Amino acid sequence: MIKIKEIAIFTASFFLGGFIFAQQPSDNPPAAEAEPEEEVIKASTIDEHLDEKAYNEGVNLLSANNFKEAIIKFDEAIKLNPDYEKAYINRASAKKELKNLDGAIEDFSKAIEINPNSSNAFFGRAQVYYLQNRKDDAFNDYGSAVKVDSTNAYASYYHGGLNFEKGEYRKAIEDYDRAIRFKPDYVYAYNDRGSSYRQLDEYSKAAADYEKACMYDSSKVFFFNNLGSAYRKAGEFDKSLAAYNKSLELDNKNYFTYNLRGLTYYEMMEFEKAIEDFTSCLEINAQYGFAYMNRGDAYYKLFDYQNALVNGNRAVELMPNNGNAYLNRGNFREMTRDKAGACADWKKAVEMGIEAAKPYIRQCK
Amino acid sequence: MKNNILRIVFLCMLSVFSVSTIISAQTTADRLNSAIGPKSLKKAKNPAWILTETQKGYAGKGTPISKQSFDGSKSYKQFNDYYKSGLYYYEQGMRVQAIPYLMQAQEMLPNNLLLNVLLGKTLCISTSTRLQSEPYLVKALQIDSQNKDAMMYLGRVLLSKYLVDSAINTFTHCLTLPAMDTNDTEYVTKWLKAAQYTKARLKKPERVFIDNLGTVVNTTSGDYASVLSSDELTMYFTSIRPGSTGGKIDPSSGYFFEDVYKATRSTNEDTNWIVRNLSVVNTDGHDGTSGLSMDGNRIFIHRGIKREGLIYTSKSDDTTWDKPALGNEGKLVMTKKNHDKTISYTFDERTVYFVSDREGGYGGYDIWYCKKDSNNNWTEPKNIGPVINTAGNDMCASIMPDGKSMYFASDGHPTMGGLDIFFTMQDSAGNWSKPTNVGWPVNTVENEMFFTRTLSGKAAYFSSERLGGSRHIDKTADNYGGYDIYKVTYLGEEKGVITQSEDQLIAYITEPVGETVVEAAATIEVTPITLLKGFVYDDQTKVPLGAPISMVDNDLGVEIAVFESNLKTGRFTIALPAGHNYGITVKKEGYLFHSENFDIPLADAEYMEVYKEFPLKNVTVGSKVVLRNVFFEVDKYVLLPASFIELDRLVKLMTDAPSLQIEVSGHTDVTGSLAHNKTLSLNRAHAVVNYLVEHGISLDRITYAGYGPEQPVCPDDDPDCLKTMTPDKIKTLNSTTEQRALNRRTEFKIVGNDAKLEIEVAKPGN
Repeated sequence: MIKIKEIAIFTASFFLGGFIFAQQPSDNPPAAEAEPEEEVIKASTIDEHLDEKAYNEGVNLLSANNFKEAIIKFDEAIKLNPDYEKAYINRASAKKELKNLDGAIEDFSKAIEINPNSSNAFFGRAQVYYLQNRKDDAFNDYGSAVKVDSTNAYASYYHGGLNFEKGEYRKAIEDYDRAIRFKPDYVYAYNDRGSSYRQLDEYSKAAADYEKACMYDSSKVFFFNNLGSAYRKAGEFDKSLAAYNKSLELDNKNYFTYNLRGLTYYEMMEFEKAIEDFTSCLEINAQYGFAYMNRGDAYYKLFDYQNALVNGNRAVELMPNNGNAYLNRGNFREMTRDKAGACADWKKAVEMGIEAAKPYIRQCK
Repeated sequence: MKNNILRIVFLCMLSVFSVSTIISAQTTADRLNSAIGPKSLKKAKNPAWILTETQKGYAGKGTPISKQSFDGSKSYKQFNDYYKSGLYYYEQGMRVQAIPYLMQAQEMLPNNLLLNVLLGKTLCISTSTRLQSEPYLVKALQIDSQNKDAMMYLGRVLLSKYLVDSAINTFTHCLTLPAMDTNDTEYVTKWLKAAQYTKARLKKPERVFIDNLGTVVNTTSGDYASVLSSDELTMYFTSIRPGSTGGKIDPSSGYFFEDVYKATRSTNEDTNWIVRNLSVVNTDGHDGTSGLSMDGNRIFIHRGIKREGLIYTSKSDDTTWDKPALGNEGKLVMTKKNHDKTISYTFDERTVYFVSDREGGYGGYDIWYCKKDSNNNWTEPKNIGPVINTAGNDMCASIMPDGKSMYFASDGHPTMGGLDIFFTMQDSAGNWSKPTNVGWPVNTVENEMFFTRTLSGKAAYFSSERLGGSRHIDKTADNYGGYDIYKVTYLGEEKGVITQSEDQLIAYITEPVGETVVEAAATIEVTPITLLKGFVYDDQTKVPLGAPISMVDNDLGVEIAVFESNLKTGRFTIALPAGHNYGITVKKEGYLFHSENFDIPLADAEYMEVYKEFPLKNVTVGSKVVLRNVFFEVDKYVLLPASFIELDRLVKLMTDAPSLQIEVSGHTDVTGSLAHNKTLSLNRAHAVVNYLVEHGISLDRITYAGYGPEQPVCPDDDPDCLKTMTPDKIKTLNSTTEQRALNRRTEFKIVGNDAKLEIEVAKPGN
């Protein structure tokens, strides 16, 4: 019997749609398995392998983004072989693309039932749980995927991501360490581990990881932005500016970058240059409230309270639910001799949970 | 060097002794015909203003001063009259009188170097006319580009215009001119340093608001030397505005003699002042405010004629002021031959700081002080020392209620120009800290003086010659001419602002993660001050009484103030730092002393007022006095040391009135058993008796009893009694707790006074 080699494209389908990948990474789960043309071995006796034939047809349809037809073929394969684990996995993938997330989970679960050591099935189900915002379930499934196959760098990476989201930065770093151990060029893992260090205020380690990410992939603006921010936090302003400058070389219309570089100038107390950058940011995105907020702060530092207030007003308009904007504007109003307005803003900020405004209210009595 | 000192003395004379507003040249020109003619004056020349040989040479530069420069002899004669009159007044140092003549002469001979230099310098010296000097100085430099006189005064003009870099360059260039002598170099170096200091201070303004007190308080003439009552509702200040008592002009300055004015308002946020001349204290000569007592009942007035000064004191009964008299301070602290100007008492009035140029100082005006000795006599004046006093002028000392923080004006420490305000603090060893310049925009390139900070610390008042308002030079605040009075509002430490940004921290999430950077929250400095307002009166007749009052800080165990309630109104006001326990005792001849003990709690509010009444009882049999400042440990009967001040007063009362017989009684609240409480109260009364006997009071005159809870002053079952017992703001406990605290007491009752002697009450400070 000549067995048709199964086409395992299920993981490839994860990035066909639905996930919120920032960049389509070479680092996503194994691309090699997403090449069905190379994988097909023709059957000598087709009738003996009807389930596999249907499965392969399903894989080809799936690769062609013909999800509905692919599901029909996977249905056929499963009907012929009810324990066909990979057919369940790929059908789950097709269902996920069609937003039938419950159906996808059902199929991934069936695959796990058939093979409790299927790291891919756990991984796939975790991704769907994540889409459903069932982060605890996703977290557990990523954990299971790692447990049954510790070399699954992707599972470790995403497990780390959820630890990061939970604020468990030290545990996230352990996950990223493992991901990098089994995939040493895993640039996203470097970036995200750097971010974990950053959240732990370990800026030199953060910068080292961001540097690695930039070295492996020098095309990513956000790697350089993160690097610039880590250096700013570390007080290494020249390196911070250099990183942001590199980022702007890659994309000079990135308003985030201007805002970030402006903050480095702000920290350097070069408030005029900071204002220039915040202004550049706003020229690209006039609705970016943070840049108004920060520009107002820079004017405040330059004792130009009227301009600070103009920016503070705009920040509040654009971000009416941002308590920080009210605190800042309160300060600006105080300096423009609008004590009543300042007190109203500080009070609003406190109502919105801004602790820093509490002592200021004492002056309002 | 000598000339430079004289130049400073002259500036002081202009800006300190009479602090006269220099009226505008135009106004002065209008006075030309009525000015006192040179022939009527027989004054010695002012050494600071005598033309040097170099300056005399300026007469021949440009269009020379000579008959040949004029078309006809008639116009030359007229020119010569103006020129010689101007030069005469100039050399007398009578700047204001010189200006119109020099202007007329310059108008007739506009390209003469000497006239432009003289006019430029004469106008430049005063803040009010400084900007008018610029065209003359520029013209002088057009005639002689290396003219040192024109250049150094032009530098001064540039600094007044806040063209700081230009001023620095000009002063720096001045120093390279070969014609500069030692005095010139000293003058220019001083102003170069001021310009450099100004440049640095402008980069970091202090967090204050500066407000001109408005055109009712301030006029186009000079208004300065403000002193405020504790509640900031009444202000006294000096002005040389038209309408001065006597209507005379001081010939040495050309301006009206100083008068004291009173300004009042309804709240301390109110900007609508009502101003009137405090005519009862004013004379035809100079009458200026020098200080105000803490209770606001005594104003100290500087009177000076022909550069002699004395401090007079006037007392108030809240509605009127007495004729000023030379009080102890005037006689002991001041001397007639010196020019004593300002006076500032510590909180307890046991130390007085004043300003003098007497012998033994470090140069110019210095700050001196006297202390009261154990006999309440002022000690010999002592110089406050070289940390504060410099070779320049150090003056306008204002001591804060804490008795250790002081503001003063100086031109000897690094300043932005002229006199600046400085702060210093005395440590526990009595050493003063190195003075710190209070910075821009309180200080400017012009003169600032007479700085007093309010009790709450949230504001201050001072006088400044800044070129503000319509002159569009100094944007900090308006100025209506000469010295004006300003209010400083302190904003405290800079309030932190928050920056926000976003980074894409996690690669698989497109939503960036926001980052918020919160600057450290500013510390809101609060020095809580409570203003205690009291009313002393006869308990039977309700007639107000003036009486000596002693205030003891029980936490520190020291008497912190001795003062008197107003003779006519019985009222007094005193500022007390919050967070302490105080004992207050009111004594009055023919009355039993009245003592109270109370806490002033630390509160959120930076300022609050407490009102308290002090009914004094006649020395009649049956009168009772509660000894509120006698303390025991809980459930014990050993006197605590904090009780001794109060008991010593009782000893003194018994000594002064030897026929007085008293019963000392102890009282408890209702908690605990009756038997225990009666024993405890008896033992406590006995402890007081023992103290009296140990201090010489015969046991025959004293009986004692322990009543336990049987004679409450505020029974638990009478919830309304508190309303009549305590001012509502002093206590913060719940009513039952407060009532029981009142009932726990030691008191004495007069049980015999056959001789009916008048009791001699100790004088304040004894």
